[in-house]
Amino acid sequence: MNTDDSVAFEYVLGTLNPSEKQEVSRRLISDPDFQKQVAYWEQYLFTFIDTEDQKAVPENLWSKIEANIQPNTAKASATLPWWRTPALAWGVVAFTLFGWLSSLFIIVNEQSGPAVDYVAVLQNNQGKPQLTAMTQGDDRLMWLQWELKEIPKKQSLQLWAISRSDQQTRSIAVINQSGVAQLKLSDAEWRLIKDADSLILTLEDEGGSVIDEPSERVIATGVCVRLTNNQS
Amino acid sequence: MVNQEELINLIARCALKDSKAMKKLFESTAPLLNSVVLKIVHRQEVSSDVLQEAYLQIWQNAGQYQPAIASPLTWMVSIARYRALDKLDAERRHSSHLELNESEQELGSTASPLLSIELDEKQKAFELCLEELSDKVKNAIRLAYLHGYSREMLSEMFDTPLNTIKSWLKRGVEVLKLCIERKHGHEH
Repeated sequence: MNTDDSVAFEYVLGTLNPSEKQEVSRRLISDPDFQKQVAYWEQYLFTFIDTEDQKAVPENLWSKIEANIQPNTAKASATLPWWRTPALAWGVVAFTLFGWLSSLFIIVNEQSGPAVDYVAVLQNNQGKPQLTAMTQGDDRLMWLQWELKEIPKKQSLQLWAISRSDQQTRSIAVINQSGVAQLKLSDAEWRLIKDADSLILTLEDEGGSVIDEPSERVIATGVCVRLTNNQS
Repeated sequence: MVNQEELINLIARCALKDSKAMKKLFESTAPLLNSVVLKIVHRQEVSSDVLQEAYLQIWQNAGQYQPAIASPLTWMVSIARYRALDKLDAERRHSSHLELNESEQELGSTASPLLSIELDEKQKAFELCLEELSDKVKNAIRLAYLHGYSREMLSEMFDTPLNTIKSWLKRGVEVLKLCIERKHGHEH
């Protein structure tokens, strides 16, 4: 057992002092091994929880939470990420893929139509967008807009899709330099995108994952949503 | 009754910004999370504030939840606990104590469980591992986890120097880790 185990354990317990906790919070952002150690103790210490010991919540609590999560409230815009604001929520209706806006938003629409576009904003653990990926029509092109500035030497980025239908993770593309604006997708990759529940961007050894599985160095993740042209 | 698999599906729908799924997730889990948070902050008004923050965090981070790493309740309870502990730390810093004696604590009204959750095999084994600790160390860990006791509060509770409490916790994690590894092998 190493010192990190003890720190992770006390972090989960809540017994670290403020400066120790601050240091841990910084490590959790960038150290996937330490994240695993914290998750390990969260899982085991959950044993203390009596899941049958439940206390009724005030009746108005849901309405307060609902007000926070609905995108069209001013309060929600104060707490949601920068790119999800009421103004942008309607701005995307008129969004075209021929010019990039400085920010995007996401609308979920249950209706399917003949020309369905997909967008995913991949965020890091701090909720900051790192990559925005979009597709248009059926031309098998994926457009990329990067916030991530550079890739470490002798390493590659790899974009993966998590399937909505079978939850499997499959590779879309290996990217050797940030700033790549466009990916030409094969028919198979196109089908993966259309079926994707979410996208993951990982850091891999140069050339991509040799085992065809994402590494634990997750740079960013984002949910795939569909945009349609018939928004009201 | 909602089980673990249904919770996973609800979280996945929340990642797609399905507010109906979020409502069902809230209705299924809020009484449990409220119980967890109340044990730490003691007042319903404060617990409600904590739960608002926690459920917003759950909503915003649903896309990052990975079932392979944590059960849905472990993930959600962890979020709620950390928010409650942050609230407790803030109150302590401003010297407006949330530590109340038992008669002042708002224990909340009991709710019928809407969850059908059992401990997994690892967690059952962990219960056995806890028995390898001395009663004092086991209780110190329990008080910290369930009730947000700091090292200083544990030192006062057990009338023991702070460094001894630190040693207890350090020794406790060593014993637990070895026991877990005996039962399940090395995980990391």
